[in-house]
Amino acid sequence: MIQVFVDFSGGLEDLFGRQKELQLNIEEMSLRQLVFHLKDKHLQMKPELFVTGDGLRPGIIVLVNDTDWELIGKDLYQVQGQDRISFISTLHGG
Amino acid sequence: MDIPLCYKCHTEKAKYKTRLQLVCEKCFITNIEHTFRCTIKNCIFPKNGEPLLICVSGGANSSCLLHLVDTCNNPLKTTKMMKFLPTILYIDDGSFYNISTNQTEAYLEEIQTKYSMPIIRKTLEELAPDLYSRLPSNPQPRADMIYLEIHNQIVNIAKQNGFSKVVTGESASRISAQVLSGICKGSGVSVERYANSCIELDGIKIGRPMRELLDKEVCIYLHLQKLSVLTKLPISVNPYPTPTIDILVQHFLQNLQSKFPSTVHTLLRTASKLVPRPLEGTCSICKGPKDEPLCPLENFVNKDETLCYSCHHLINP
Repeated sequence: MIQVFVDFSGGLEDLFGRQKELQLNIEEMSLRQLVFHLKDKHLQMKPELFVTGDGLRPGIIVLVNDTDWELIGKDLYQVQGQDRISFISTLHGG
Repeated sequence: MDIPLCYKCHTEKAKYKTRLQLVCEKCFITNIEHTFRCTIKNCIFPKNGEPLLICVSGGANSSCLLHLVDTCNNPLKTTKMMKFLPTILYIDDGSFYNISTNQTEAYLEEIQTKYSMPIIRKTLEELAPDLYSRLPSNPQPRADMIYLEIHNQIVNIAKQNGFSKVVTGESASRISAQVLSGICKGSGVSVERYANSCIELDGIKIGRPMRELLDKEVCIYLHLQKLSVLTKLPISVNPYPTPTIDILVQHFLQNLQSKFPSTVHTLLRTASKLVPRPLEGTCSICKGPKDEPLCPLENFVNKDETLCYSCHHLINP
């Protein structure tokens, strides 16, 4: 089991019961699996604003330890212990 | 996985991918601030000592706008200081978005402490007391009417307080979505106004210095600078659980942008090339050009002659 920290911002925290941060103890998994784990275990409303059939909804930025997930393999990245994963929604007001 | 070096400095490892370029944190922040500085000079050109009204709604774009204005104007943050006199305008529309007064107060206190700029604070209810009774129940026209009312009030407040220049925080992503959704809602005649970097209403110049920045860049900048925002979820009123045209278009563009990273800027550049039609008359709601009926059948519709096509359907959904 590994410990990871997950942050939500840009309105996503409202989908997770207004929690801006989660501390999770999970098995080793990829980011894609983590997304569906969050959807199944922690998401409280409107799953269509977080995931589509294929994975994370477009318009949500993912930073792993403040690095864009596009540079580290996107949803194939294997989450490691003490990683801080930030989900930021770009669907926001002005 | 080996992360390549930043395309600009070639020394630090890249951390972000924007517009097909891989950039480190320091160069990312420098790029954003440089782009903003160039755009604000080109669109509104605030002169030394000139008052400038900064419209802040508490959302991500306007919070980023406020911080970027401060970086241009603060001698502690830049050696190339611009010397205009910024004032924040905050129109409190929290009651329409179920934002508590505590959240609003906390946000305003934070920006007042952080930026030391004067604030003009008004509530939408005091500016337009009859607005709530006029709002339709359908979420799309409801959101549109609130947006138009706020922008009309911005012009009024600027005139009352002696400002001739105003800036708002629409990003490239927001403007391109407005262009597409404007066409969908029948306000194609006003589309070139959405896309312009600066428009003039009643003698007040309204500039959009964030128009070169994508939503992704805005969000990453907010994250790095640890700026707080007031989250306003889109208006959704039962029994209309489906999203509005604006939301659908935003989703569509986000999807397209994720696969084709030049989508937003292509849309923006193309819309900027539109030339306004020479039309007489101004719509009394949106203050845009009043279009003429394209089809003789429209003459049989009981239409308010002071309204454009889109605003007519706004109040008669």
